Amino acid sequence: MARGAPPGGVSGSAPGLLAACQAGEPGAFRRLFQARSAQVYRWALFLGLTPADAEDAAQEVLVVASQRIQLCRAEEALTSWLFQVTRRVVANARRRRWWRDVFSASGSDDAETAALEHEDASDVQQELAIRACLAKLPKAQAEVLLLMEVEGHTREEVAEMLSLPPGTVASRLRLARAAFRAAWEADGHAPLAAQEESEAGP
Amino acid sequence: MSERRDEGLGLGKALGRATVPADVQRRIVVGALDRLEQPRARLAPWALVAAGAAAALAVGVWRFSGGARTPEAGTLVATTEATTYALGPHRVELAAASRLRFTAVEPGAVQLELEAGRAHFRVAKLRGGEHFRVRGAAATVEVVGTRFDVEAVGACTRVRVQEGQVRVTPVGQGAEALTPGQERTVCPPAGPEVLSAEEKLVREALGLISSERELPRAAELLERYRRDYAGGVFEEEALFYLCLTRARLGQGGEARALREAFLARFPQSSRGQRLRELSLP
Repeated sequence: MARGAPPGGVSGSAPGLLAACQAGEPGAFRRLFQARSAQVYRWALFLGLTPADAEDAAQEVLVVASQRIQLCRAEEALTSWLFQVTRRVVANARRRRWWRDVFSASGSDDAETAALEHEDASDVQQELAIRACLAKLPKAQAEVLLLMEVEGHTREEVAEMLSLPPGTVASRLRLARAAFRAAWEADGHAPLAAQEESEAGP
Repeated sequence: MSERRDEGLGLGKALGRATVPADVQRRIVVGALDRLEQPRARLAPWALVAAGAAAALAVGVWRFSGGARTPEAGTLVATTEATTYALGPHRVELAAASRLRFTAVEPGAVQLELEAGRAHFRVAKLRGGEHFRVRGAAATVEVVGTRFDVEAVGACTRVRVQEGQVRVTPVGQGAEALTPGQERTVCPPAGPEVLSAEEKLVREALGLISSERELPRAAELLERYRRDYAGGVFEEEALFYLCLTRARLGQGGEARALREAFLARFPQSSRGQRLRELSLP
């Protein structure tokens, strides 16, 4: 997988799309939504939301982004800015879910549903297991693992997206990997195949 | 676990070519477009009742504030048309295509940063200990009780006073009082002397921090800033980055004390949340 290109095939927006949205060009927001919906949905999903909540959150992220589009200053900052919006929306969605679960006897169970399309049906269990283990990690660690391990961003890109020094990203990544391995093995899964590179980034 | 090398987990590989289903993408896009066009269509009946009550309350507040909006502290607003904001008894009229950050918004303490464009301020009489400050790129304007304009003109800051008196403090220089009818444009000096000693100190420290070189030296420069320029225009930045640097250096005790100092000194700062989330050794 190419670094910086999410496995879902969403690699960014057409050049000039941000400017078109900021200028209020007809159809610009629809194009932005089409270009970014899958990416935002994956973020929400791997940050711990159920598929249904992730879908709602993705809609909300796009609506909030369109209402505040003037605050995004550059095309190249769009991914980073959208991720910041997603973090806040996901945090709110998790709080709402907590309240909903408090007042609901049955609770939510669609976390056990696959949210992605897989070429091989056996990968469905893999997706569920990864989401379950990510959900056990502290938020700060899950974000770094999502962006580097799942989405394939470099350490420097993640540092910019999270407004952190690259060294902090590296240390969070180390902790996150250790925590994820512990959760993975505690759930009785076979070890994941290690990547050839030991860490993203140049 | 602890003896294992820090290898990648291969999560991307494990997920293979998993994609977001096309129908999910379509629902997200259509739903978002619907919500943009018909924001009230999703309200449940109980929510409509609550919205009605909120609207009635909002009308009261609206009337009370003369139809102006009141932004939260930490908000950065960017206007496409002229917009009026209410800050308690004060009013800010932000021109179209302007950007203004509401750094602190609380009774007796208003701090704003004009990043672009022009804003007109109508400030009610301030009592002792209260302040209303507007920071531009080149100067900080402090109100003594008045009506005035601040305009960002490139790297310069232009101030015009219509009523009352304001105190203008160019970055790194002494304060100057402006009275009605007076106008002052403050620009950074040209050429290599463009930065004040105060700004140079902070910039040098931030350069070291961003490149992760000589962090102890960066901490020393920021400590010096705090000592030599107490209450200076970069006080917030210096305290914030000093806290992050101490944490990065593994000096948890110092970082904790600096975090407490920051939160006490700048309770409305948007950077406070970042420090609260900081995991300290």
